[in-house]
Amino acid sequence: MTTRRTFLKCCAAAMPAFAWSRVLSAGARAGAPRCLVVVRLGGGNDGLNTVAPVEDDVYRRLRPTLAVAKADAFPLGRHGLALHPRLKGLAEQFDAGRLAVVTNVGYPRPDRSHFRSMDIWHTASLDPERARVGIHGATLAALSRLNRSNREISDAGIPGVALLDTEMPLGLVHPDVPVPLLASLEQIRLDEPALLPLLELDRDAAVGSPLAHAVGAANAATRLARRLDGVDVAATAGSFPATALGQRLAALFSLLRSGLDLRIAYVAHDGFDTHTRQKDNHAALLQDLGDALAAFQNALVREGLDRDVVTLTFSEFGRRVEENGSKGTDHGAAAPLFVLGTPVVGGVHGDAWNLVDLDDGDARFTTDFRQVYASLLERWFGVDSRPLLSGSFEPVPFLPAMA
Amino acid sequence: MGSFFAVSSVVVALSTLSTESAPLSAALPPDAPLTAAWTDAAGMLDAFLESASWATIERSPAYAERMKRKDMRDLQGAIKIVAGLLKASPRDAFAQALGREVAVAALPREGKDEPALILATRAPSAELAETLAQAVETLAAFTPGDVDAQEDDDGDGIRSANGREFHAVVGDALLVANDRALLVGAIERMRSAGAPDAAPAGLRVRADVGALRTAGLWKPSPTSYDNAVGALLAHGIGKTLDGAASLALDVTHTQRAVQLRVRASPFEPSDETTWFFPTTAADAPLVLPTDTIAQLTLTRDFTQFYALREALLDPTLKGNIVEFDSIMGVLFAGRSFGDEVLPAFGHDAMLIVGPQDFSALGTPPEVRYPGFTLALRRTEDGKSLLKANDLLTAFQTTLGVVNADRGQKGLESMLQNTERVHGVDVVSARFMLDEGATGAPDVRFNAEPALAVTPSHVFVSSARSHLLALLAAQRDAEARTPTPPPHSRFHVDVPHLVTLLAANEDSLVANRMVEHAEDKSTAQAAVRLFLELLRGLDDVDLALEPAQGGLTLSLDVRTLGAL
Amino acid sequence: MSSLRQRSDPLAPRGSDDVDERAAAHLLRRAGFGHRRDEIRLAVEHGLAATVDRLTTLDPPCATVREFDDVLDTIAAGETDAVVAWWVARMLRTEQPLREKLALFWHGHFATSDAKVQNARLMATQLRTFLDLGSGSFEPLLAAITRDAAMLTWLDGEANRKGHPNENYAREVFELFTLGIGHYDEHDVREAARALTGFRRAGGRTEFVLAMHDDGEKTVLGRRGSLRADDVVTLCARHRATARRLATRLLQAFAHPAPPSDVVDAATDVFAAADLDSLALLRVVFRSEWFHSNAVVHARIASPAEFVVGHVRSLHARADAAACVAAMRDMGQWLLRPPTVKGWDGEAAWLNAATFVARADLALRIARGADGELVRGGLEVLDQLQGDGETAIATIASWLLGTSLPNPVIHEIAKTVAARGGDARAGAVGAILALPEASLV
Repeated sequence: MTTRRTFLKCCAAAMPAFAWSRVLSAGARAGAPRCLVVVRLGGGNDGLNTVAPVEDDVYRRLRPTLAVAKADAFPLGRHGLALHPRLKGLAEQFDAGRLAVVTNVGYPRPDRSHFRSMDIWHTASLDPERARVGIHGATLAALSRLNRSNREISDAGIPGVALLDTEMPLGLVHPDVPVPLLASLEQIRLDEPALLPLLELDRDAAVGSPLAHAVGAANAATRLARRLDGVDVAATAGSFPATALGQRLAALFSLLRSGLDLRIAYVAHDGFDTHTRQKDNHAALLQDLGDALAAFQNALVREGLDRDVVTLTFSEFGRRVEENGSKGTDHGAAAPLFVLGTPVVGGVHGDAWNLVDLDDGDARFTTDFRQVYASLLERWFGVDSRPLLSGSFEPVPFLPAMA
Repeated sequence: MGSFFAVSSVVVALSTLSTESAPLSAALPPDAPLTAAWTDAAGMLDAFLESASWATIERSPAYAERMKRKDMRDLQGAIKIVAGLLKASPRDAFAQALGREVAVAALPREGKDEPALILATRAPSAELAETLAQAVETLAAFTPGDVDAQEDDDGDGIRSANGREFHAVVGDALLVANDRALLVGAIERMRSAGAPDAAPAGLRVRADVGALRTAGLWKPSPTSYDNAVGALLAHGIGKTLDGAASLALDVTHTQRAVQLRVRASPFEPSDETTWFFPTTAADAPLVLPTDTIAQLTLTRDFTQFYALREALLDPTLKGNIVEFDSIMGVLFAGRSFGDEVLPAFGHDAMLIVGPQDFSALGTPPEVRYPGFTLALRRTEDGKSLLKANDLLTAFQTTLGVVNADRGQKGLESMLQNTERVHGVDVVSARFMLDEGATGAPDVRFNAEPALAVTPSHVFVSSARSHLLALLAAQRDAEARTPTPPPHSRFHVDVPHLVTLLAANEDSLVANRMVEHAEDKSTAQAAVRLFLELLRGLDDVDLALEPAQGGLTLSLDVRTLGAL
Repeated sequence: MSSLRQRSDPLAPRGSDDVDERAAAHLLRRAGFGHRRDEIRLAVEHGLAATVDRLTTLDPPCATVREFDDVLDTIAAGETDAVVAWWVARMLRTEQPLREKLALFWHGHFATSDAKVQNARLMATQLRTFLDLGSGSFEPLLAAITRDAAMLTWLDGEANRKGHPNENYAREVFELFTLGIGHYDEHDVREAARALTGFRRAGGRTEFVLAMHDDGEKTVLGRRGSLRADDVVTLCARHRATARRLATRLLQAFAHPAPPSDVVDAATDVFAAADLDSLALLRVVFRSEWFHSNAVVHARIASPAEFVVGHVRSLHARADAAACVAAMRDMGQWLLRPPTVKGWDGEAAWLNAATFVARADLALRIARGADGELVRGGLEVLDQLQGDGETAIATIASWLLGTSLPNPVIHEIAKTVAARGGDARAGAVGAILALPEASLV
């Protein structure tokens, strides 16, 4: 009978030495699998003030109290667009060529309900009730099918993770790939490190047996615990903004640095439902977003992990073009989104805002959100996007085509 | 003859006591940052052990089970050893050892983690003090130590069993310390102490906060809070303690009350805490219905608090703060919550908890919650800032949002109702009973939110009937003399609380069965024990009052029977 | 083929009625949660047949279950998690654990989530149905679930009206709840959806509204007529594919995750002959030679519910049900809130680095016991223990796990316990329950 231990020994003998050195250098991510970080801007982010047409007179007319002043904003050099004055962190990434701004992203017959539109984004289906399976969960399932030799695409059995303290987002739900919801790193660190040596012991268990699987999970847990000890989680947390988003991205960075081969991480940054008195509140949320994402990206660059990670922001919808009577904005439709990362083709992708030809008071979409997913699936993960998106969508070239 | 002798010896003992002994606290080092004195501990223990509450606890299965646990068995064992040495029952042994007067002091010791400690206790007689000293020696022998360091009295009266503890008998007092020099000083102070002050009965603790801070034994208060309620309740207290030089705690008791006072001094509001300790004018107080269960009053400058929210609350709450501000903006038609809503109200806010009247439902709901009403004072300036209509609109908007959310989830919505009661417009919302529904209505029928605006107050309530009772109480009240509101006060009328809980006994039992996976009789016993204990109490009053020189926190618990 | 099966019945009863401690513990773990010492002793004393009879006799309900039944209405007035705690409290306390285990099985089968239903009362009513009908024949259960108010909300039964069919429930009935893919076609789904029209929620109940029902002619699985919901139920329940599919799932949940095909064939026969009565099938399985073979013992990975409730019961301990619910959630099983209509994947999918940590942390909390946070008592059972040091650890391990641990593991436990200090026996219990072996059942 082949036991787990002898199996490992055979593999070790068959593997070239250089491969082993890579496996054994804990924390190193040379040739590590690629990771997508999804940041949800829950509540409906005002895209028009995030990526503002600061030279457009119609914009000033429709946004008499809320319009972003041209002098304060960060120009993007195309279509007269500029980033909100509080997005300094992202403006620096843009200048470094690491930020793609995809404009006018949406879908046909926009739904203005938070829940339904969020479900549409999460399922990549215009009929989310029917799908009930998340696009990111389905992506993980597709990746594990690709990886036929080994059902697990992550050595810890955690190919994806949701970092938030509410509920598992539909986007990550898939029956074949359960993904943990982490409110903090403590959840995946053993309460008592004294137990580590005990849980590191191997067994003579048949390959594929339940005991071998349980021992594998125990070993994965101890490996993760030891690596997290090695990356000084507290210092990382201290070097990120102290906000909820900053701390979640700090936790995610620690996980990536520990060598956990995450494929998809989902982080929430909610509170964008700015019906009244939007100015200060929206500015505070964007400041947090820009600072936290910049801290995350700079940390990735510093540790040499930036080739393997791209970050996508999205919101269930943008907001109405015209501000309402309460110095706020109501639920709208198409909006820009960001894709951040060293491998990203920086710049503005897509058309300018068209504030003249509106669809029932909202900006019309010119890029289908499924084109954004198609790009990430085809060009980042190398997965055929058609079955996952139930159709063929032209990728947005914010990532170079795979060789 | 024998009894005469006994009585006279007691008289003699008492007379020696009154002429010779100063309070034991005089023996404590004057520079000790932490001291405690407890007089008549035996009296307090007796009062407690003879109370109805203790009898109830002692009878309970939970008590029996607790006593079976290992830590409790160990404690009982230790008490028995001491009692055996004193040849007395455990209770008498306690009375003899610590029951008359005890004083303790702690001082930091350089280079050591544990502080220097000294304990002085007065025994009923010099002979018993000597017996206690022997008991200490026996106990000390149980703990490992340096046998060579054993010390006999060589003139200075100091003995030691292991070189780690030192003790001495001075008259009827026994002194024990873990530091020899400390004990030497104490003996000297005792011998030179002047005329006695009558030590007040009760427990007194005194702390020199400055010295403790220097010794690193005092932690500064949190810089930010993870929820707004925490900041509203604690921020000013924390800051006062940060700046305090001394802290005094006194516990006293009478036949039917226990009183605890903690006083921090000096007390000087800083710029940081002016919102927490606002100056307030006297105003006509609210009259509460006689069946009120509890009330909480907080006097704060809520406007200033809101302006400082980002500094006072944890940075991780930034998103929640923004969200809250947006929601408030929606409810108040785009007004700024911080600049245009909060300033319309006075500094004293009161939350009142009282019973609901369910008679309109026919059958009361299976689970009966009390009504919660928040009363905010309207200021003269505020009346033009925020009109009654603005508040009614906010109520209607809230109702609309709640109904829309419930509708989305396929849940029942609420119907709005406007009425004029006692000359006041009351707007409320309620669920409709299902036609043909039988049995007790659902828990949601506890909610009948209501709002009323009087010339002096805004009342927001979870239950219309509670709001109406409050309005009636205001109408019936005599003209009231303006009084300054309490700074912070929490008061519970326990018999009214018990009435509410007893009405919910079945659901309390059901919840306990589920929560703790208990069978019905066990859960019932636990719930009844809890109610039985509460039945012994009259009321609980917790208050914080800033005053010239000191900030005082007081807790008063009054009982119905003798304590 | 059938004559061959007659010659050697793969579910033939065990030759001997004698059971040793290991076999008794195995049977108790599968028919219930964990294995208590006193139950093991009783099983060894009474023999296999009598023990299986005891475990599979669920009527009348035991006194504890009746007490909990009485308070469900009160509990369902609160949050759905309180209903979950109610259920877990029953699992912890019942003398008839198989009823709860079958309800757990059916909850995973007809996986309905409160994430969409958002109503404690409806979830409680559905759970009640699993508890009441889960240990009987399948057809009444399917009929009840087809008009269950929570299911109606979960799979859009209310939106399925005459002229506006919604195929959600019809599709899942065929694909997941009964036949399985390959035994029906799209036409059947469309026609069955029409037959299922007409149900509407009225408060906590479901009513049938004739005006909303499509009374026209339909053809479902070859049967033609003015079919209604109960016709679809009968057609599905009496289909041979359903018997095989459900027999397989029952074998997977109660015996082995990948049962051999001859065992499945035999189980299907038994199940079909017994009118799809799950208790009847389990009675045969539990007595079979195959069930007690080495291939089946410890062949499953415990679900979080089995892990938490099982270990608490094995220790004779008492636990806070609400805390158990939270612990299971950390391990990836939020009862009454499965991730999708497919329920939980189970087995290997239960364990990854994160959920393993959740299990190990819970083990340590159970062993800390006395702090009253989660578990009370329980360690007293160890007072009966003989020996000390590694001998004691080995005994505790075999008591708690129903298996013996390799010597190096025992040795390492002893080292860990010594290094951590504190109560040695409690320390050993914590370390043992944190082992990978503790996740096998």
